[in-house]
Amino acid sequence: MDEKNKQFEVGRQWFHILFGTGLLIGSVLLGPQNTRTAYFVAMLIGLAILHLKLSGMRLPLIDPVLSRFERSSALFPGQGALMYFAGALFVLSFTPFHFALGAIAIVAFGDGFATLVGLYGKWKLPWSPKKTTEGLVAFILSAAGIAALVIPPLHALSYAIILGVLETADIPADDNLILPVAATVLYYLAPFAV
Amino acid sequence: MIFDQAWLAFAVFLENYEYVAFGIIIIAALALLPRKRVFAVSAGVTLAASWALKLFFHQARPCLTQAALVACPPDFGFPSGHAALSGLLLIAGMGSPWTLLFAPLGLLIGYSRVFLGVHTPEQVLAGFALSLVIYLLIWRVSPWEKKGKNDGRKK
Repeated sequence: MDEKNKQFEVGRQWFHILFGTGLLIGSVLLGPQNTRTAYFVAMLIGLAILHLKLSGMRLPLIDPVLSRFERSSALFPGQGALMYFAGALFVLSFTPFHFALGAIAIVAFGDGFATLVGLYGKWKLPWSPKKTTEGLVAFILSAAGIAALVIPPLHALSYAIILGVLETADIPADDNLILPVAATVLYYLAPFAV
Repeated sequence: MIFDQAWLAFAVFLENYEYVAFGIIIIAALALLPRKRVFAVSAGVTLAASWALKLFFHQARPCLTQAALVACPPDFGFPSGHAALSGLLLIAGMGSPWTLLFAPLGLLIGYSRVFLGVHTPEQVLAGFALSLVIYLLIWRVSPWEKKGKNDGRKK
């Protein structure tokens, strides 16, 4: 990846991490029911913006944000944000609140730090040459660290490892959507692993 | 008064004639909305997932313990199947003028389930979340949609 694209990704990931932090703090303050409602309303707003963009409208306040933070490979404008809210709403709806916060934290921090560190990593993963070992380790450590604030540390580490490895897979779907859904599935599979 | 009666009639019709109602809605959506194949596949997956998750979670409907405006359906309540299908209407019309009809319809269907007392708001929200995730996943991985800058946005 050339330097210009690296800088783009660095800015994008810091925004991802800080935005995720803000949402987590807001979620804790709002509580479970209000958080679900807030995320659903955010989804509706996102869908309205998506509709306007797909209809060809220019949105002076939104367009600069999209061009700064959206990847050119995105399927539609605001894909990252919409997938993020959809994934968060899913895990909030189908798992207990504290677990959902942990999963959202894993996505925000793990994914963000994995990219930030992985951009400059040297050791490619054997199963995924586009990703690095340094990025995977950064995902696990950052995700486990933040998730341990809301779920038991051993659980946080386990989920971080599994989701971190999943994140390195070349799945043609947004991590912001895949990781929360995977976390939800893992939550219900976990009792069978004990 | 007339509005209240019309709204109640609409909500009760969706409950008592759900197959007819959703049949009409799905056929109309397939005819009018973009990304038809994505919608069709999403609808099928959503139906199956909703049915399976109801059996998995075994969560009762609120009408089993509280009064409702209609007879309490016999199946489980989480997630709401009506909301799951109508959640597709919230996103399937993106970019089409028809979304101004289908998206509010999707929201109204979801709300009607709480209004009738056959679902809790959480069960309806879970239904919406389920279908939104399914649609986005299928849209993202579908081989029928262009990816990147030429993604069907109006030029």
